[in-house]
Amino acid sequence: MADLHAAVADTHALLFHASRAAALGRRAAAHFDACERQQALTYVPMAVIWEVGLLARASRVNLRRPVRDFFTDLFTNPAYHPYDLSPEQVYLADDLRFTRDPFDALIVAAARTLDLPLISRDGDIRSSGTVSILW
Amino acid sequence: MGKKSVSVTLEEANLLWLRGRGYGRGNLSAALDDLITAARAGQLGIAAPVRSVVGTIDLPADDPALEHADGAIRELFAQSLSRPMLGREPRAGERPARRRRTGRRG
Repeated sequence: MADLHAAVADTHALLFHASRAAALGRRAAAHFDACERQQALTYVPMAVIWEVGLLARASRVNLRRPVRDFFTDLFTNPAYHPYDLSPEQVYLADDLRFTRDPFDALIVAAARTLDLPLISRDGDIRSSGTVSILW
Repeated sequence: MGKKSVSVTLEEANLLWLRGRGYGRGNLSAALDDLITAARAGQLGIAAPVRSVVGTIDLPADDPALEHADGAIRELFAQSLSRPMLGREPRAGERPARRRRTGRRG
């Protein structure tokens, strides 16, 4: 197997992919398509799982099933991996000063810990330069 | 117990999973050892068939780009964040306040 492309998913990126939204960036869409073909890897931080659950609770997204079932379905594909939260990620998130959003900070910290690009359109994250962006 | 060198051929989906679990570079042997040990202990289930999530969810028609998603989440936490973190010790002789029904911050 050739060297695989791997990245970390931000919440909106994963939701755009799952909803086939046109808002997903071209390179991000190509990465997710490669994952669907099991030719790339996407890590899903715990903060993303929680944020998706909260958005479903607030009716900002309709998962059509419980959040647990949505992610159970997602992780049947070996290209998608949940990425456990660790104390190191929390310390890193605490060090980040460009955002006051705890979810963004934890998601960026996950990408930093894995040393992988983050699939995100977030302008604040991009301009912070803390991680490379795939979009 | 000693170790032996073997050559293995794996299905690509399984190799992909191993790579995702961080077993890709240099420690594939350790990964296989871990998995076989778990299998012998009866700790492994059966892998489910792949179910793609593409096209299985809906974004709100009034916010298809999720521009207001952050605000919706902030609202969920606004009440919790507005409560004081520290409680006040009752003074001597003061009747304890009745417990409020709202949940406290944990």
